[in-house]
Amino acid sequence: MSGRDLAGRTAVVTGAGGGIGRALAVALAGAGADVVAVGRRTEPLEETCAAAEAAGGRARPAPADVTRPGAFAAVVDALPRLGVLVAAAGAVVRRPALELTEEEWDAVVDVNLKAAFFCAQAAARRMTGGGSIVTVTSLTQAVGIPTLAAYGASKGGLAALTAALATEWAPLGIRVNALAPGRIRTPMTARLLADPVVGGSVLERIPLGRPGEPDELAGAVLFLASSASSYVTGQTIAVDGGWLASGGVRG
Amino acid sequence: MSRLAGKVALVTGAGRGIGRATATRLAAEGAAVALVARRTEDTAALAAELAAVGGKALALAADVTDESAVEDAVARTVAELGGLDILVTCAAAPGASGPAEETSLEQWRSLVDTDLTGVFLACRAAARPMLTSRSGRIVNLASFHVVATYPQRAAYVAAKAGVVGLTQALAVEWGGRGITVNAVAPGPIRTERTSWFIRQDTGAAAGMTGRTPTGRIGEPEEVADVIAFLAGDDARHVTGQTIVVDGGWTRNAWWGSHPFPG
Repeated sequence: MSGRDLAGRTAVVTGAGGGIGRALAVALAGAGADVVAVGRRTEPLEETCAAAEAAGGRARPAPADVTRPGAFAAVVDALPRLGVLVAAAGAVVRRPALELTEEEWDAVVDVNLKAAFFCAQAAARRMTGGGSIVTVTSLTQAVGIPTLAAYGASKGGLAALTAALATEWAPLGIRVNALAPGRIRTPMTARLLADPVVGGSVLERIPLGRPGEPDELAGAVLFLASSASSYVTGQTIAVDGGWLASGGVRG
Repeated sequence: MSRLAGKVALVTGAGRGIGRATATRLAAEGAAVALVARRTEDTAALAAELAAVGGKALALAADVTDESAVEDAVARTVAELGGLDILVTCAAAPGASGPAEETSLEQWRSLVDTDLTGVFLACRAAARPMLTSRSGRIVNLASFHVVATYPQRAAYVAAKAGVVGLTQALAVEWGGRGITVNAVAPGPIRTERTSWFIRQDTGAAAGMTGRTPTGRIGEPEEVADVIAFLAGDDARHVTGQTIVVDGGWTRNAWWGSHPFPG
């Protein structure tokens, strides 16, 4: 991947305040994109932008709650042009399905599925010269994990949404693909991976033998965001250390 | 139960395991069954058992990798049982072939010959009478390894994935001429081939059960149930599909004795 492959392109990243979203924003900025970092709170976004600048790129914070479609649309409508959207905002609730409340269900589905759609819609309306939209799905789009019913449902829905939008917006020159991270070391997974029993059990089922780091998603997102993938749309790229290929069997 | 009364089925690998259970099931539903295996000890005994309960079965010796033997088996089935309506390809070599980097060309060829080329030869031979009658049901045995794999069975996994591709290709090519072609992909099933492993008091055997949402190894008859569905009229509009019969194994990402993260 050439270092300045995205030079001159504007890339909006949601969920950019931490974890995977932050790593993707920094990667895009490092590849030359003008990054607009979206998240609810300003302070983490500023940290992301500082990291982007440290990587030699440009980024600015744009605080907005993605679950309010109008708030996100206002961010993209203010941009002179838009080439890339990476919808990385995500929420998780771990709760046995028998105990899951309507509020918890809505909280997860609102961020992971509804917000992803309205962010993609607002972005696509601005992508008059074509563009690339990358959604962030999950292993749970393909396999089940107990206590993650709402999360799995939202990510499965997001995978279907990705395929639907890819076909609908292909004539507009807008490509839509999904990045499916496996076990990645982020604040969202820190507790799980740190648990001596559960964490060990999770790790020994990854063929590459370790969790991924957020910056290991950089290559895939740069590929999907750039013209390197100009004939790729509607696809999911799993970045999971081999998890899905093995079904989590110990090597 | 006579859902398949008047039908003629040919089952390869019919001597043991899933093939045997399938032949028994199809016979119980009223089909006359040609039992194909390399040797006829097991299939002759099964044919006698089926005949004893009013069934009609014919034990035929054929190695599925032998083109003319497969053609002969189909020809004898048509001649002696009056036609061919259903083909089920269960013949397969044991899956474990050791580390991929040490797998010899001979091992690879032998496994692909039996598990993939053998399926093609049986499908091709069976399709001729089916195309003539513009009616047929073919069910091929794949494996859950086409979805998620174990180490040290590269040739097997490749061959079984080939069976899924072959199933799709034949379904598309013959669909307009009355033949449906589907595959069944079993997970861990209790057969003669897996019993040594299941009997062992090892973590691996317990792990196999533990990660299956239904909490147990499948029985050959449970695979035969799905094959019988695909072989019958209820599935007449189903073609090109692979149905995984694994108790949920390949859809589960969390198992073991430790608690779920709350």
